[in-house]
Amino acid sequence: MTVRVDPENNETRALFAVADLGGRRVLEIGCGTGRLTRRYAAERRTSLPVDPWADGIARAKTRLPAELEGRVEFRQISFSDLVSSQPPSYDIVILAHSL
Amino acid sequence: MVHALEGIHELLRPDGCLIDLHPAPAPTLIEVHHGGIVTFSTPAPGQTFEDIRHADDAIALVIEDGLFTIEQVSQFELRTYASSAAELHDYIVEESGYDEEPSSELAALQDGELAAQIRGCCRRQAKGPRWPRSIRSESRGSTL
Repeated sequence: MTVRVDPENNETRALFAVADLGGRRVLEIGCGTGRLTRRYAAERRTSLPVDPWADGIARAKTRLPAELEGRVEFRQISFSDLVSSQPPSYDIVILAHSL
Repeated sequence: MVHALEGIHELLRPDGCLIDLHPAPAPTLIEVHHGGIVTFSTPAPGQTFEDIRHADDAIALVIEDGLFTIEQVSQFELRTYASSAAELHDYIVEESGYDEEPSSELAALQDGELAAQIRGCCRRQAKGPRWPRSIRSESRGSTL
């Protein structure tokens, strides 16, 4: 058996109930290996998932489906570097179990 | 944490939205399912909710300061299904690279009384009718 996380889609349902992510600039902080990213990014235009954990980002890139390439840009960056380098341009910031 | 939320506020457009997903201060359960029935259930050992309470306090502070307003809060179960304690352990190790020291939950899944209880439960079930079984852990997330 392969490990399955949230096959009931409770997490994504809760996420989509809060905000319509479609066509909006999304920043995900603490994306880890991209588990949540892959679930919400399918129908979204652009997403920048970030995490300071290099191994997690490397795995996230490896696991990204081909159809999401170009729309999702995983980036390894610390929170302080992120805040100092990004303009206030995001419609939605997702804190993925990272506060 | 308040400083982090202030930093996030700087990244958002004026009408932007922050969605915070984090566990609720409630025990994560480790369960064995068999034939749609929970045959074993116990809180994961060694859980403390200090970090979660700090996060909740930080959110309360930035709301009090007027930096954010709450639009919606909800709770949900986030379940992870595996076929054995070892499989669940290996998954958690692979997916969480932050902690240098293994958590009590991880240690218990790999070795010790909890792992033995789960193995015993699964062995007993294996003698009966074959049904899918899963070990489940869950957490609750809140959206801000």
